[in-house]
Amino acid sequence: MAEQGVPRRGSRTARAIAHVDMDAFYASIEQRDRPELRGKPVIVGADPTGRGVVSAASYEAREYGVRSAMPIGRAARLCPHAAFLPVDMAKYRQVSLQIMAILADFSPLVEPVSVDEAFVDLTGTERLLGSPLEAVRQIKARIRCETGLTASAGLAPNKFLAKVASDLEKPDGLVVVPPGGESTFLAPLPVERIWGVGRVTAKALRELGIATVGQLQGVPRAVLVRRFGKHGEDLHDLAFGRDDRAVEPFGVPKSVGAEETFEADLRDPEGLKTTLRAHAERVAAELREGGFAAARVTLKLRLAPFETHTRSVTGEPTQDGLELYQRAVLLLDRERVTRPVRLIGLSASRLGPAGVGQLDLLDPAALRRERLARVVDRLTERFGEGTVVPAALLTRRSSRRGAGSV
Amino acid sequence: MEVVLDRDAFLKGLQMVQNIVEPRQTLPILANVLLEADAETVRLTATDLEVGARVSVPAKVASKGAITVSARKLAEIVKELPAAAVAVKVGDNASVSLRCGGVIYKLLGLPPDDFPPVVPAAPESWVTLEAKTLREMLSQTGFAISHDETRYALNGVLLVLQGKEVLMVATDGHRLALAKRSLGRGVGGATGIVPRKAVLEIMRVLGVGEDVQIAITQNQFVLQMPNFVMTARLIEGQFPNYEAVIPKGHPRKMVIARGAVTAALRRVSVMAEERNKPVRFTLNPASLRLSASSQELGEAEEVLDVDYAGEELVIGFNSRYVLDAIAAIETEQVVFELKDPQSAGVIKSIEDEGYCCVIMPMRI
Repeated sequence: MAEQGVPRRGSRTARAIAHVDMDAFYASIEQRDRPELRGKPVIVGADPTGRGVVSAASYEAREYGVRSAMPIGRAARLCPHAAFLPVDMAKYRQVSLQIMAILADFSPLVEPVSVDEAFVDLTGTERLLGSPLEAVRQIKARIRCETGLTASAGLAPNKFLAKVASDLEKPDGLVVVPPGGESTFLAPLPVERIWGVGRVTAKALRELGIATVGQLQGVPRAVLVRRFGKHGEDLHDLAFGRDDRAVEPFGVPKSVGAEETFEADLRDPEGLKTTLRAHAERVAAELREGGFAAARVTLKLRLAPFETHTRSVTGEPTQDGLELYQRAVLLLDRERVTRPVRLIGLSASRLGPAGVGQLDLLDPAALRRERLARVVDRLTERFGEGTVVPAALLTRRSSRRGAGSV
Repeated sequence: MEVVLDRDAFLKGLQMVQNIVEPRQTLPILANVLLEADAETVRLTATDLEVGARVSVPAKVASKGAITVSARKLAEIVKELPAAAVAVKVGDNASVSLRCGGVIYKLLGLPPDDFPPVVPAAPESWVTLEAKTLREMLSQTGFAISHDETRYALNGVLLVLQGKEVLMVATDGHRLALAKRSLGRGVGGATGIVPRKAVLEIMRVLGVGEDVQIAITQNQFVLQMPNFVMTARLIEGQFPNYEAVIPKGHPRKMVIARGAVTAALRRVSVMAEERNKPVRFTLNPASLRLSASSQELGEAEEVLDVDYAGEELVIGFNSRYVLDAIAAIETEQVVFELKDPQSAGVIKSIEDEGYCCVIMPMRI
């Protein structure tokens, strides 16, 4: 390659990184379990007469223009004859664990990105498994054989390229980017394929006459840095397919969240707060399960008809449901919501390890709540979600499925 | 308006108010300083709507009037001027000319009418303090003010005027610092949370010699000195019950030399994890072992002679908190009062009763 930078971590020997991405994961699981749905459009998400969003759409439904994260009502108009199914997160998690276990047989370095995708570092596994390409073929075959589902995979010298590659020939695809072929592979692709190039950056690039990665490769680094600052450096590196991030098996998730679209717009502030409390408890439980504490709390509000606001606040790292709730309420109160609310969500980010650290001086109940949470978590594990809830949530319907990790 | 000021006095005046101006404002005029000329002074006023300050600078006033100009630019200009007379004259359309020696500036101002008024409350009574005392109390508490925006009631110093006492408390939820002084006479009763910005500004402008007067009204803190007044809107919200947090009668008392423990903590904490700088305190009769370790880097420990006669106790603290607490003490010997690894420790001077800092331990 013409461009030669400073030696980078991990660049001495070519790495072999696979990105494994399940095809229409939720919808495929439902089709697998209900043979009558095979070959038909399936949309997993909120109630189609209600106002939630699409969580996943089968390939048959995608032909009608249905996409995930689209309002469910729109999906129902685009594809009225589809089978609409609720999200069964517990089932999908089960399958996810099965898949991650398969991946773990191929490398100790497996980094789950979400329930349905993961990176696998296959560098140096040749003597055990044969060539990395052979290993990826085996991974796909075992997933199909053991779960009845198909996965698409990308195999490349780094995470960025592997991820781009896995997406190119979905479903059931396998795309390989050989070492040295990075620039050629990327050149014909649109710039939107590059990580961090969203609508805004893509528009700015278009104004410079750049639509493909190949055109971006022709722009000197200094020009990109002048125009985009630090982000310009990343653009330049990624355009040539350079990415030296390691596959991190115990990767800390970026955020944990819960949200709910209401069946009818909610105006009552108490109702909003009760929902937030439920979200906070759920998020806190998930943080505790992972052993994390979160410093940042984000409140998400969707006002009728479809206007989304997010507000965040940063404080001491916590994994305490009440504390998360109080921070979210602070944000909610500041918003002075006067319009009906369609969706409310809470997410916790800036995660770090919990358990070590500073004890609280002003909240003598904090230690007690911590001990209580541990007991509640154990009961939940044994008897299921909703076994023990804060009294404030007793009047609420038993917690809905449909909220989950975001 | 047409006035002549002495450059040094002008600069000093500007420097007393210019920090009030925030780098980014909600209203353009808040970037400006208000200049008002009457009889023999020019009054300079700055505000961010929460905190306001006004200073009077002696001047030869040819014609009275008022104008507002960019506080940052004006201070920048006056700082560069030679020590000579500065002539300021307001022209048409809120333009301002400023001459000193051979240099002429033309500044584009904004009319004074839009400048938000800074109105110091007229309290029923003032409390008079030596500037030195006020500074001491603020520096004994200011470090513990919280930066956590989710706990805004903690983003300032609680000021309590009660009986014959002035009391200040600040806490960030991990530690609490309290300073208390008694006055010769009764001061009535008033309480308010003074925002951090006002606290920092007071410490910046406070001289050493003079007396200052302070007061708390319904929603305002006011401080006045000769030719200077500062107002601050009190933080609304409930300050925690500080008395409940301060432990009383902890059984384990350790007395140690301030300089020795400070130096040792600084040395040992080099090896502590960066975010919380945790250091383990292991107390045994007559000895204190400080130790810190980091998984990636290694470890450090140091043993000190102390005056302690109780059983062994191992407790972790954020060493920055301990250093802050000790730095506010002036006597040679400091006292640590401790109970167990989960209970807050108290650090104070061996003699002076006017200060204590309560620190919650860390799990390490």
